[in-house]
Amino acid sequence: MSEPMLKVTDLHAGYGAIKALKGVSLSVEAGEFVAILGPNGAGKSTLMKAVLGVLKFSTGSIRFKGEELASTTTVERIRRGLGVIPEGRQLFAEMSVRENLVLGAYAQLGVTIPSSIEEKMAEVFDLFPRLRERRQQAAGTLSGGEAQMLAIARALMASPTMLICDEPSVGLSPKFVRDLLAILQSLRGRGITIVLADQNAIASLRVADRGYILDTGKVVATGYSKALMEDPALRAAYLGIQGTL
Amino acid sequence: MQDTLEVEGLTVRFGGLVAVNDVSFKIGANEIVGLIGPNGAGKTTIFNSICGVTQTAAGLINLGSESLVGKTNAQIASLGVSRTFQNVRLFAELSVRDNIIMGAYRTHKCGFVSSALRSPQHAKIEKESGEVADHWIDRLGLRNFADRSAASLPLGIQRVVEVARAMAGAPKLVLLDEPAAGLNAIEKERLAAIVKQIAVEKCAVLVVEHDMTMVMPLVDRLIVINFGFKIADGAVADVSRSAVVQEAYLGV
Amino acid sequence: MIFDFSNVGQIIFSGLSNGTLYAFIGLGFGLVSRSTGIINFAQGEFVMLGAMLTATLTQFGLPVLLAAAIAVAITTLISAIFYKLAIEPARNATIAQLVLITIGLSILLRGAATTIWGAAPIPVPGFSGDRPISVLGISVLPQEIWLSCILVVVAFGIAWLFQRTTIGLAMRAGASNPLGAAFLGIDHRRLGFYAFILAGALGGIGGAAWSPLSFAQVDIGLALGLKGFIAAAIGGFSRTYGPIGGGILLGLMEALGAGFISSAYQDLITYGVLLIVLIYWPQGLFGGQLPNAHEAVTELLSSAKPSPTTIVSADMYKMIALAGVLVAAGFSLQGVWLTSAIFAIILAIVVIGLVLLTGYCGQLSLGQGAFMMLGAYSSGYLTLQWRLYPLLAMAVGVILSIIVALVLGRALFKLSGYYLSMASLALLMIGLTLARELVSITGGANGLAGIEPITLFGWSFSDDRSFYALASVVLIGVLGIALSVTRSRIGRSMLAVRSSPSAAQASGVDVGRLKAQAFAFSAAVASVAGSLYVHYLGIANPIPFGVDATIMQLTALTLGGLLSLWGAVMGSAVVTAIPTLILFFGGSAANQIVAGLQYLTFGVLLIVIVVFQSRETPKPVVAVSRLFENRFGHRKAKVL
Repeated sequence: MSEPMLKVTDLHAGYGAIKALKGVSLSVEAGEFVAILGPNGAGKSTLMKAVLGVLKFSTGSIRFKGEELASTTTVERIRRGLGVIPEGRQLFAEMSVRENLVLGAYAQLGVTIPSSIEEKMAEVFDLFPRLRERRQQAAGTLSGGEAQMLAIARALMASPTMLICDEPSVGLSPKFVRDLLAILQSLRGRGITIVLADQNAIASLRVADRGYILDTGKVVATGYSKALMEDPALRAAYLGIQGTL
Repeated sequence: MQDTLEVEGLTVRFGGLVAVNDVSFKIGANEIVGLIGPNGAGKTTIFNSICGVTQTAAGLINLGSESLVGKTNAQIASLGVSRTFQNVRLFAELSVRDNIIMGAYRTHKCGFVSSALRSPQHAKIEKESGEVADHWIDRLGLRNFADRSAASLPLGIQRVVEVARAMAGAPKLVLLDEPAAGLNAIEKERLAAIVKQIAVEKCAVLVVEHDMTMVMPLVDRLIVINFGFKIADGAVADVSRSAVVQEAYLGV
Repeated sequence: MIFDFSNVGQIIFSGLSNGTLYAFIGLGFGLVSRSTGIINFAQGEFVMLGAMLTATLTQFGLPVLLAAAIAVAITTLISAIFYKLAIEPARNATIAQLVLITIGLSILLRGAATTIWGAAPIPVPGFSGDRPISVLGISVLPQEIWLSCILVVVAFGIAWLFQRTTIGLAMRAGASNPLGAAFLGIDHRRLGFYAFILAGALGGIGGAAWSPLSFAQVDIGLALGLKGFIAAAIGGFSRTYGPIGGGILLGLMEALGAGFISSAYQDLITYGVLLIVLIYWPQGLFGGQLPNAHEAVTELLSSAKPSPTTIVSADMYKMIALAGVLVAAGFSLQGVWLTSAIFAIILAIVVIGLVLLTGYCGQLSLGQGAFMMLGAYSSGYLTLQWRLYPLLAMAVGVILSIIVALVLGRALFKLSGYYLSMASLALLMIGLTLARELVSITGGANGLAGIEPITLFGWSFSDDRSFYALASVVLIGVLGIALSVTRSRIGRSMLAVRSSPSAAQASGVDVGRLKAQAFAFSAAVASVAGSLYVHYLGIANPIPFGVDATIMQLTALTLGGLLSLWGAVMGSAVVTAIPTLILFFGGSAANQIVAGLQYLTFGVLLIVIVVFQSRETPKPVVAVSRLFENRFGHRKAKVL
């Protein structure tokens, strides 16, 4: 099929009188790793919200696997194969790590919890052995890095075809950010399409295939990661790198 | 000269996590200081501790001779600390002028009965706060928007209204939370000019900002936070050249 | 009193038995609040329905167990329909609106039941006979064993649901972090539907199993609902077994209080406990989370016209128009319609207070009757016993009301959401008990008779028309003050708090203080209304100030649109006219039908109007998050 996995066309969205997105278009092919970059307030988070159905958009179109998402709810989008590592992780703080993970597979579960879920969980625990040790612990008591692991692990429980990662590096140490990006890269290796919105521009571009740079609600640059990283004007203006470096 | 804000050994914990670790700094009157660091480094937590939104585990926060630790955010506001919000929080149901009048709320006291019975005191206060609002409306070029609902304005103007609201309370310290977020280059420049202007009012300004291009030309001094620790504090040129800062903040 | 073990044992046992029922109802509250954040005020009426339906069906000759099963099925169905018709469409409802909707259902059910069954109690046979069994000298009914066994089964069932099933886990997840739940494909609407189905079933089961121990009666729902809420509040809403502990504790307290102190003050103990728990242990004695009911978030909407904060000419025109209507009505109305107009004015005075409290400050009081009684009995007692001048006595009532409201308000407004609603209802119940029992002051159920009319400069407002004129002047005065408040520095800060509580606090507004002041204002005007009422009728008794009065206030407030002072007056006129109209057209119908239809009308009005109003608010811009913020309350993201 020729249509990309995710195709956003001329998207306008905002909050009341504030227009946060002013005609954004982008596309993500199946199996690609695409980074969405830009300063705070550029519209990254609004774009993610629109794709996930948390924010209604006024004009434009978002197509996922060839189908229009405009009139669908978040729940339906998840059921169609979108997975999310949400901004701020959005864990269920009072519930255990295990319960968080079980709920990760919610879209595929019946009334009772099947025993087959243990296999899926074992797979996820192999990726994040720390979580196995802490499976009975309440999610709210995890450290920042562990909580982020849980957010990723929870998203993987549903075996999504595309994973939306909204600012996953917030509050993590540089080493953990590197680990995290390596994990995302390995997930891409397993065939999961990845869209990463992050303020950690250079590190994101190092693992992504392509990037889009947003500023004040518009795409100001796009291209393969290497090309974006090497463009001095972009480095200075949007990637947080001063010319003097 | 006495410093406007003095933070000494500030520590904040969330559960087991130490979000801010033994951070100390000072801000003098008329000084514009930038507080920078990667997202999640602890900037917002420091900001919230000063406002009284977040409880501190240890340390001192003094505004002049007054301690802010343990006070509610309304009390801290009454002592002369104004703020703006990262996601603009104006009073949507009120006009721009009324929003700015609300900023002057803390400078007067007027009880329920006195207001309900429209006492001369109430009339005087309303007149005075109205004048203060008009002063800031004119000074920041908001005259054309004064009677419009705050919600109907573009983000760039909303941020200016927020600054006007903060200034209407004649604060000793103004805290700006990511004022550049979502603004385009022209709006940023205009806002920076306004912030420069208000420091002349003998108030100290603390700007928490992620956008280096906004902060660098604006501030007198930079404080850099990472993993809850203060890793640098000094003149903009020195700080941005420091290797620690480049590694931690710029992510290179 | 002779101390007798079997007597004490019997008291304890009867406490346990009642406690079991409270636990049942508390579980229903917990179930709904845990999965949707809603406090379902109609939970007690589900119990009433379960009991009434079981009673009727056994009277038709059905075996009691079959009757009970059908009763449970019907109750469940009603709860499910209610969710689909009233809760789900009210997408953008605020907490206050959701409270109003479930209160509407509770009134509607009570009205329908009263119309159908009347007030007479109906006996129900026990599931396995009514012969008491003696255990350790305590006489136990087989039905009591049934009830406890069913409770145990239900409790384990709920525990299983929340720990072991995906639905239960998802319900907890939805309450813990709605946005995170949506990101996993959890459909909170469907889960809310399930929760209401279960709550309906739970109420039905409780009612059916309990009815043989008492009589089935249409007016038990309110008190049982309150006690179930107390059970959940004491035990903590978020704990599966919390409401059971709370219910049994409450049952024991009541039984011991009634057995050793006085049964007359039983309610005083119950509701006093509720007030203390709400103030000091809002999370329940056993810990856990609060039902999530934080401030709604007002989005920045581009179409909004700014609210005026100074008196504008339109206000003056409206005031003049109202005065004109009052004068015209005063000259043209006769007989029952003039009386009805006087009651409408008295009601309007109370509702104007609620506009400030509920409309402007988002706090819903169900207990204005308590302040009306403070005014009524101050006027009655002080004019009769101390021969105090009526207006002076009225002022004493106002001062007392303000003091009570400020003390209670300062304690309660640290919390938000449902707490004032429940606490004020508890206050009303305490007030009603005191009014009945402090016979030396209040005259008990008979009340104080022979209260003199109000006099001013030698003129006595004793006939209907002159009293109408007086009441109209008071109304205009109260309206003028309320208008002045909303168009002042205070009103501006109230609107600011509505728009953004955090920004208001950052501007130095003491939000708790502001809400307490609005509460005190509403209490003061309610007290004035109470005083007017008794001076008009000449007698003071608890009847006109009970829950029925609360229902009329809420309906009038809702009809008027919560935020409009003029609407409050019009809503009051309509609400007062309804019973007069029902009487007018159905004068020959039996009393119970008239009363039932009145409730029914109010209930339907409340639900329809609030659902409509909640949908009318402009389309949400942040669809899911706003919906969750409004329904479940806004949660700050946890910093992990």
